[in-house]
Amino acid sequence: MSAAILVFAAAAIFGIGAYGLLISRHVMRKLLALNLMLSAVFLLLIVVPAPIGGQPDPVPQALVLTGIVIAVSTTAFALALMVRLFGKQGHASIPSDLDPRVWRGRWRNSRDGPDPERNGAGAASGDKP
Amino acid sequence: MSAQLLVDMLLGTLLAGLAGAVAFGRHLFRSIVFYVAFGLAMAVVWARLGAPDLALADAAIGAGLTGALMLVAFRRLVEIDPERAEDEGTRPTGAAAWIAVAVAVLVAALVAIVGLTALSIEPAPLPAGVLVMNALDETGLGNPITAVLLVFRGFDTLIEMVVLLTALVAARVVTSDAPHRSFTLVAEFDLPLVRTLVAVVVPLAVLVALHLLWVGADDPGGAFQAGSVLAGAGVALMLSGTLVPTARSRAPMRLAAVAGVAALSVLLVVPMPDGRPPLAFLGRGSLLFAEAAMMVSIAVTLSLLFAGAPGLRRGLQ
Amino acid sequence: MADPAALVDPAGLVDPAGLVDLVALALLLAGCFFIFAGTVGMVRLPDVFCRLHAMTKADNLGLLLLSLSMALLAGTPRTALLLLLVWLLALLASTVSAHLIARHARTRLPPASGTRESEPES
Repeated sequence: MSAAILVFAAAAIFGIGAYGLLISRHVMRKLLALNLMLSAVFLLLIVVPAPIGGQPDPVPQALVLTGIVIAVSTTAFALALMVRLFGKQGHASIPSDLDPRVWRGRWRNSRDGPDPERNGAGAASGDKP
Repeated sequence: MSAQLLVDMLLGTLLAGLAGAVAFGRHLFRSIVFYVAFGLAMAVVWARLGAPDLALADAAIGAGLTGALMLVAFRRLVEIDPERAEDEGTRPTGAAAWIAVAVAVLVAALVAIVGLTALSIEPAPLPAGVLVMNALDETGLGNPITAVLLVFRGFDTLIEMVVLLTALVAARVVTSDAPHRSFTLVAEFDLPLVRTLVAVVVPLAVLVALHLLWVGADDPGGAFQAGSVLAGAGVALMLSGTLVPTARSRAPMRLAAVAGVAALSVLLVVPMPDGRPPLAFLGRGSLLFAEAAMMVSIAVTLSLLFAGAPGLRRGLQ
Repeated sequence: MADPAALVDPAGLVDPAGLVDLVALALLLAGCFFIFAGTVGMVRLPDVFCRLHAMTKADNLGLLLLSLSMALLAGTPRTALLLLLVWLLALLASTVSAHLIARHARTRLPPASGTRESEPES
């Protein structure tokens, strides 16, 4: 029963993370959302398998321990990329996949070939001159 | 029983609420702070689930280091251009926002269904876990998680250390031609009170890390937890100005960063008879050696990732 | 701590184990009250300094009471010492962080605006 409650919590966290990932444009917000989704997956991995001798299954625990450390190192790398992106383009946002202008840009790219002046990223987020 | 259920409900609500505060927060800074709170709540949940190893790791990493990394990255954005650090452009509105809501709800429902189904059809323990518990005596270890990480899945752990090293090298490449001012960290914390705190906390953190390393074979703890605690001490030293990022990395730093990969590689390629997993049957000493090397690597790698610089040197005091 | 079973009064009038539980419960509730008060202050008070004032004092007292309660329930001197150490470390950390937050808040104007990061001159 308590496992079911935590499964619902994990589902809610995963959904919130997915929403944040889709809706936000700031790279750091996307990273926060991704980390939330990761935590939800970790929670599921520990809650769902049956415990052995009153303790959670050691194999998923080792997996999650590994995952936590990998997550922090990849997050650090992504943050370094973000700082560079900010320095280069003047803002740390990337266009949301839900933005219709991005779709139009992609459609134009696939039809005419890539166009550095008017591709989706430039058109949607208004680069600093 | 019902009290436990109540605690679980409270914890689940707390987690979901904090996740909402992270995702829907209006200020980015506030979202990061809520993420730190979320990491702490996760640590409490791990403790509640009887997984102290994960609780230790998430308290040090999820609540400590990830938040510190995010805050220092945000600070760098503010240093470059305070006006646009939080700039999000325009958020999707109208149809796009509704699509996002629909996708999120669908995904959450899918996760809930998969999780509940797995709960209902898998009442027995998984075979791998049972095998680990049965073979635990043979390895001479008391902590099954350490046994999985170093004995049964030693190669996975080696690859994980490689991933950590790759992240460090990749971050170094990305920042290699960045202007040097991004190396200047927070000097404003160079205050008497902070120095006192660091003088008390850092030796304690080192003590805790060594303790975690030592007991990790039999009790909750191990290289990952010890390494993250040490990395936290490194972050504290950097914030107080005792350690200063430099543009050049020295040999000891590089050796420390690769120590984990090196030690694990050496120990894992030792051929063992009967195709047994190598690390366990070389005795406790080899295990402690490998874990100590991993701890140093994790601590140095995470500290350097926080510094955003190739090397560290002693500060002025 | 002595074995509680050996101390139980035959008449059942005074039960030391029950008494310990009762004291621990009282400490627990008192601790919860102080932490709740600190949190209410954190949410309701208008600016950073008032919030720090409410938060640091009430929460540290609350944490002390909770630690005492846990130490009583655990019953071993080792756990009690560890809990005391936890409290001392939390005290140290909250002292320094409250100082830093207050210092940061003092150097920027106006005092009661949002949470945007700014550069303090020092």
